Amino acid sequence: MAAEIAVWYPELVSKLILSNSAGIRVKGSPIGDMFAMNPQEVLAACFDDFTAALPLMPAEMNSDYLVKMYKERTALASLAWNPSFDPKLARRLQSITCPTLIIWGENDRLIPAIYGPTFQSLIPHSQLVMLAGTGHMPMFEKAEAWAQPILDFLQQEVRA
Amino acid sequence: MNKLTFHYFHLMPWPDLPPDFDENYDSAWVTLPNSNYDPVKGHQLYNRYLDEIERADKLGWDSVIVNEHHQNAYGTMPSPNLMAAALTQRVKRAKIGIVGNALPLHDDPLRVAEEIAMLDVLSGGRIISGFVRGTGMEYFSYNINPTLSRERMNEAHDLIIQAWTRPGPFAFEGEHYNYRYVNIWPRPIQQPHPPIWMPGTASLETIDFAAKHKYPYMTVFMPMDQRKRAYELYRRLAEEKYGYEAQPEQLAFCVPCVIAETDELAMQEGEKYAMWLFRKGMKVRPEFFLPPGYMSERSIRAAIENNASFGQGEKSFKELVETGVVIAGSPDTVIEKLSYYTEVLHAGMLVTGGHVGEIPDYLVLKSQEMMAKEVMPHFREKAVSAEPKPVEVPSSSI
Repeated sequence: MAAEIAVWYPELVSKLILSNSAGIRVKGSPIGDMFAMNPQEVLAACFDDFTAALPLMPAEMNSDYLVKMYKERTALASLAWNPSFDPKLARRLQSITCPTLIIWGENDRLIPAIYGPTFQSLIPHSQLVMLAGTGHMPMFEKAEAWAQPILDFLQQEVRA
Repeated sequence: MNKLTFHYFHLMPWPDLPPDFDENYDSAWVTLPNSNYDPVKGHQLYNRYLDEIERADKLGWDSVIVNEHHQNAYGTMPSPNLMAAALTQRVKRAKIGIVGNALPLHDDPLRVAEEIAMLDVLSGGRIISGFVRGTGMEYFSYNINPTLSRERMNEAHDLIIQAWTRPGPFAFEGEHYNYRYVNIWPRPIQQPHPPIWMPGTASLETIDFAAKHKYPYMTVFMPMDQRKRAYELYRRLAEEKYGYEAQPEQLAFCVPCVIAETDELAMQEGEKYAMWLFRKGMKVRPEFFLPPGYMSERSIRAAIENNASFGQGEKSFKELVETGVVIAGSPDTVIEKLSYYTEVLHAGMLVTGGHVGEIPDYLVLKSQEMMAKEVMPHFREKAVSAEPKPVEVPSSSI
């Protein structure tokens, strides 16, 4: 989503950070079918350390919560059922001119690690940080290791 | 008029699942490896099923019915119209139902309009055309966006009805389907078009759609309380929203019927064979059954609160019979249970049959004959007596 905004509204984006993000396709390395996964499988695809997922767990698994989850999945499906990527995004990424940081948990089983270097090769002058020992949700699993390169990146001065 | 019409419904299942299916496979749909399908055996099975359907015609069923399912062992008819075409050459009296074509799965619904028109012409106007959305599983198998299911259904329906009824050529301008020239050859025989049925399992919107168009609504494999709610809703919508009284010919019920000489034997045979449907054929990952956006918010809430699933959970055969998902018993018991539909629910179309699981063909034949010879006559209009009656003639005139 952030990459799309950077492509279409470059004036709104001074720096771009992509963390384990969707949007493109790497043939032969499909993104996991989240719609076919049960909640345990989604967790297993996204996390190495399940305890890191605790803040995301509902206090109570009632029908209101299940309906809300269904609606969230519906919103995602309306965007990304088929295709599960934007066929034109890969080509449009070359127009991005703002500084870009790509940061990826190496053990991501939802959007495989190869998507990180692929984004980097498509976005001019982008930097890539691969994080070891974490998957799709490094912001929960390795919060400091994830935040540090982002802080450094945001503090760098934009060259005119 | 007949109190109940009889419709012989076949899924053409693939009964031959791996021995470790229960332990090691979580779905008979979408992901069950197709190495489990043996095409040579499939050839025999298709022909056995066609023989069975041909017998139903000869025994007096009002129609025979096939349907569309993809990439699964529950029903091996990805193209039901092909099977209906084969049936036009074997079934010479009964109507032939395709209940139904899964409209949203197809990017070109004009093809459905054409094929049904072809079948109607080929069969001499005997086609019943069911329209369905397809199960949730099929949105995975065909990679069709389930959030668009309802819109595509409604638009494809409108296109097909127009293709059958409006003089062509005309243009159809939709959100999902666009045609500059709609002008199908052939056109259907039946006027204004072949009858349309709508089966449903849980969506309230489908009941509304059927009631609005006065299409028969068919409840499929559900407990009696759920069927009652569905019929009540249909009836209420018909009366209050659309201003007419729903007739028995608008309320169909798809119920597996296990019939045998005694209640006890029927329970045994059902336990042994019919359970295949619920334990194996309908075994589906919950995620495949309810893909996101396939249901509206109010329908998904109702489905969650009723703990809806494609199968019937862990219910035993006895529980399935007690809750009215299945009918089992001697001819008298079956008559009694069907009478509840006709007398209390005022539902007038029974959809049942055919082979499930590993049932041997002689038992299928037995059940077909019992239904035809001992159950059907009970619900048929009594023929007007043709015996000569005495005529009074005054003696004086002789």
